[in-house]
Amino acid sequence: MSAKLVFLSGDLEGAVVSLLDQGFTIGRNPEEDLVLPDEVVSRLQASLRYRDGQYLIRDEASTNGTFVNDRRITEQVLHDGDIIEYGLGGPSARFEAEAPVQGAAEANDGGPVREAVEPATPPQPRAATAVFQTGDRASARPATGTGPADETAVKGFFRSIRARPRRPFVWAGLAAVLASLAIAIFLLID
Amino acid sequence: MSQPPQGESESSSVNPTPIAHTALERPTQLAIAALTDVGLTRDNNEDAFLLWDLASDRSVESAFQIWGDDEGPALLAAVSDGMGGQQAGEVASGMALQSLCDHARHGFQESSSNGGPGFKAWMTEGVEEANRRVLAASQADPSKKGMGATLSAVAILEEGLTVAHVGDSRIYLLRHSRLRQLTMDQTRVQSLVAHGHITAEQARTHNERNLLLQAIGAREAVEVDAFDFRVGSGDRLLLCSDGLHGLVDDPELAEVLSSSTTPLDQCEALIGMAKAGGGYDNITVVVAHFG
Repeated sequence: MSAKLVFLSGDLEGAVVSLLDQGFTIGRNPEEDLVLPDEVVSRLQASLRYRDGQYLIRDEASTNGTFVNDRRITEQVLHDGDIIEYGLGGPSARFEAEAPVQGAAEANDGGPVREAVEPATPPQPRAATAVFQTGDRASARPATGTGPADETAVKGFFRSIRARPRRPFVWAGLAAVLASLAIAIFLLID
Repeated sequence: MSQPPQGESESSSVNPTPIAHTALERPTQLAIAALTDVGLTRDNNEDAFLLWDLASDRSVESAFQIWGDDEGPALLAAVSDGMGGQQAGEVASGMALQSLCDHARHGFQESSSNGGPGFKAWMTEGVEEANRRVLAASQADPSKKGMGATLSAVAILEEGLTVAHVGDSRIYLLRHSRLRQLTMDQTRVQSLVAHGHITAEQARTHNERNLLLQAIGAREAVEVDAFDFRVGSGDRLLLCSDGLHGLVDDPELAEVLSSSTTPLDQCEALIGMAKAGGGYDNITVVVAHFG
């Protein structure tokens, strides 16, 4: 599934954050994956998770609440076009999902999740917006050059996203351990 | 680049996004009113409201307060929607409000700072106390078995507002013409929406929309949704039972709340709209204007 957050207000107004089917945290704290430097936003405001083909937003006991379509939420599945507000009166963003996700939760209930195929080319940036990707592969690199008008957003965004630790190594290590265990057991039985 | 002082209004003509992120101006006055109505189809009114002036320690039907720099509001407002056979629903809602009021009054007298952050604990405990009392009463009297109530309350204090909420009555905030629902319905249907099984639109007509996950008097433990928030001059607050929000949708609520009439006029208008929409349930509204 290809999804993004399009910021409608706040310091990141106009910025587009591409979501790479993985979770991340949002808050005023510089440690969070997506930093929103706004006094209304809590240090740890909310988190996004990707599960069974759907994105879930969860309010992390924030001071000023997290709202989806003007309703306060604790945890909620996001749909294309939903407006997320980080703290009452705080920055807001529109959630845009490019692939329909209807029935995804039911289809994948219990079973392994088959993720939607990533598009071969990154989404085309719109004029006067900067495209960023969160996560390992592209740590806050704008996918395109931007004009002078966007410079503030770009700089703001460079400050705003922290690169996440590279998890693939962890998985590779885990796989290696499991493989050697399997071989050892096989040899023992043999 | 230096920002012109009028930058904000200038940019708003370019960008149509209706976001007004400005600092809140401390309110200096409050007008509040409440009304409850049996509706068009029920025989009795199981809804109830509470308006309690904590400063003068008495019940009020409506209030208009102006305060100076060194004083502030001290008011408790709540709605409760009772359920249960015969007269039990009325007993449950009345008892819920009474319990909360007793506890909040006690808390207000105890706390030296006229409320403040510590008041959330008093409000939460007040709701828990209400739960215990209603549950004990329903267990003691077979004719009141299974009675329960919703309870949505707000303490309006100098330091800020504190909400405590159980069930599916609601508290809305209108700020800069934008209506936000501050409370979350503790219903099965809301849980289905949160999990993405149905849409918010489908929830409005879902046949299980009245099924509560939490209620005052239902179980030993109750999950209280409690939080603090601040209001600014111009903000408007609405507390209502589902007899209103089940029949009148958000844009219509926003339109009434935005109008330049008094809180009492708005209460009457909202009840009129719920009746025009069918009036199948009891209707209770509290409207507060911060100026």
